[in-house]
Amino acid sequence: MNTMDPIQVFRTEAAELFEQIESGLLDLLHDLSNQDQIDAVFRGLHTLKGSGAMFGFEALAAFTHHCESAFDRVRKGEVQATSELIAAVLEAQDHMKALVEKPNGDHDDMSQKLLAKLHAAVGGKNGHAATSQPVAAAAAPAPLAPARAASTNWIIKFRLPDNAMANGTNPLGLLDELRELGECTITVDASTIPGLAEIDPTTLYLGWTITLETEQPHSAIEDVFIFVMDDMQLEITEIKAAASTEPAPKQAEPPPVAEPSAEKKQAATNTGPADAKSNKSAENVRVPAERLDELMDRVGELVIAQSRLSQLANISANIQLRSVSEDVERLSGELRDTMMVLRMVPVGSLFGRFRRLVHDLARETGKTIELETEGETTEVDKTVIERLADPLVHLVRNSCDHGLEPPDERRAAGKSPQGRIQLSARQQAGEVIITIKDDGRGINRDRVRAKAEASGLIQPNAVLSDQELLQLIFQPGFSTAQEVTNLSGRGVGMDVVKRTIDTLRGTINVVSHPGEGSEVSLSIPLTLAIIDGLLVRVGNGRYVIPLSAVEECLELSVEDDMRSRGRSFISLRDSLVPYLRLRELFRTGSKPDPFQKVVVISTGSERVGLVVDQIIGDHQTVIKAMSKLHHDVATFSGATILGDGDVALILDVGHLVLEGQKQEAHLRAAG
Amino acid sequence: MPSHPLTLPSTLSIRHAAPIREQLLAALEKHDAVEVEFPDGCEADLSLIQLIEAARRHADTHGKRLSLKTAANGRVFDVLERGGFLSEMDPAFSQFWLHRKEIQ
Repeated sequence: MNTMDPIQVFRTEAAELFEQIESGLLDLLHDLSNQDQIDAVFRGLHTLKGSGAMFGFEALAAFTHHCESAFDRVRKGEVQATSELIAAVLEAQDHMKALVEKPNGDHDDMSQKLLAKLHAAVGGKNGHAATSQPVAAAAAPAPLAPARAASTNWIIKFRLPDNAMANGTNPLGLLDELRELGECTITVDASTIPGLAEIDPTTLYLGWTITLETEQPHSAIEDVFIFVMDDMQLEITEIKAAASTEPAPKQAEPPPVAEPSAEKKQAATNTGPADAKSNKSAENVRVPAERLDELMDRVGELVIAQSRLSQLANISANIQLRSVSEDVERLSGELRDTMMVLRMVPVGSLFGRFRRLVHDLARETGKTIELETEGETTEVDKTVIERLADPLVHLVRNSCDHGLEPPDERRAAGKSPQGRIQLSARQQAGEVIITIKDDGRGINRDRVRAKAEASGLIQPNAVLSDQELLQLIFQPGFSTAQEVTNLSGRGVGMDVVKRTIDTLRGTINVVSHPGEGSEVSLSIPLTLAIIDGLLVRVGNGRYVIPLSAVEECLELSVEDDMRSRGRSFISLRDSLVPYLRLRELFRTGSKPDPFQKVVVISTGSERVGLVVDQIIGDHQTVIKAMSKLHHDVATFSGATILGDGDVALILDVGHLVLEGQKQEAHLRAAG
Repeated sequence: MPSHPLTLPSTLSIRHAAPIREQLLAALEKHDAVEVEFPDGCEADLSLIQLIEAARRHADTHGKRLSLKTAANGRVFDVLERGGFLSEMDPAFSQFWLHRKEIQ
């Protein structure tokens, strides 16, 4: 089995740290004096610096050191957290990401520019020289707080986990950091080193005892071990309080094993207690996404093979073969369900990044924008999540830039000067509905129409439904922005949104009320890999209808069929439902079965019936993409391989419902 | 008794600890006395100190002799100092690593 590349491990860890730091910074914006958030950001930066240095990302460590120093000063109350400082650190964080991605790139100019901003944000020349050290300087410990009245003597005993060195921890670095705190005497316990024949050369057998005289508090000593503390043995004992005007910290008799300080405990409330964290890390396994994809492919192949086995078993008289086939079917179904759960990730992981986006957009546009999120725990297939990111960025940008009015305009309209954007997610049948709603000015339909006519998208005076008119904003090159800004107005983006949602087999619905705001809803299938399908026959071909969209199946008698000719409506519990004759749609050319069936499918509140010749039964459907040649065939969303090796096309429910609606509108218009 | 010279590679870090252990084991198996030489300017970390200490113990228990060609210097001395090995040295340790050199 391949071991993971340590650099890749660091990059993954760094990505999590960036997320944690960003979230802390954005939370801090709402309460600039929140000490817990200040501590959380500091810890994140400190860990990033330390880990970066351990894995050889020296430029990252050196640059992060300055941000850490700035936050250390905030933590110690020397400077106030301000929105400028947070903006500077957020910008610096983007640069840190670049330093992680391209550690050998030429980043000096950008580093200097960002450090100048950071320096200004923490008080310029009066503040601590956050940028006074050259960027190239190696990561050094955080600058010390102003000297206190007197020093304290400590005995620090520590022993790192056996695998510490193998994992990249450098004990010498920790000892160096302790030396930075004050006068140190360091002794090593090498008594447990075994003989050469027994030694594991990568295991750490050493422990240390340090006597330290320092003016720094207990927490400063703990900070040295902040990113290894969870798994190590650490004992910090105060042995003498020299003539001090301040009361000694309450650390006189610490327990033998590291007891998290109040600060550390607070961290525990954010990320889980240290023990719980250790347990959690033992219970969770980090798996590269591509391995999950690989496993999904294998499960897909297994489902197809199982389908073939079932088919052979069904035509066989061998009872034992049938029994085994049933077992395999059950097991592969369970395996498929387990696999699908493994791939599901909460949509909150996607929403998290929009907090930063909205923060940046608010600064760029001078608007005050509040972002509300809802339904973050809704789970969606990871591939869907990944592909939804860009469309959502476009939609949120559009709402911020075009949708929300500037504060003055909002006040004049009797609204709160603070604009609001709501991002929500919920599951509905086999789909996830993601909604982006703003309380801005709404879409100006006259401008949309004028622009569409001017660009030749529609004929002058063309009769369009409200939804058809609003959908024009997703046409390529369409934009009603009066001026092109950095954010939007180039007509690029909304058509990309439409294209991406189409490839996800999703649909877009737009609702907009002038002066009240707009709402864009994306309906996306929960998964793109395997679905439960209803296998039907139309003529000589077999097709799959996603089971999640199927409401019911009815028989279409010859009489009903004759009676409804020219109208194509069936009466279903006092409501008329339009239906499509798939034989005619697919031009099968064969005679219809005497007892045709109607499969009623729906998306949300819209229903349509599909007339088929035969309902074969349910079918685990491994979705295969259509070839590029068939990419534009809207009626089908994919294909699948049946047990006998034949290919069945998967019907695109959204498209067929739309066709049904069009037919209904046409028939109603015809009277 | 002449010592068998064993020159270690110039990078003496944890990544290379396993082959260094094999080299030391093989030399101590074949020879009664082994003299280890660290190349000038070699890179070292704590895993090297652990390995040499383990080899020293191995030699003692098997009636062999292990020595260093020159007293620890450069990066090796730096690791000993930063790692706290030089604070409370016993005479044997001092003799082995520093050739009885006093710490200034």
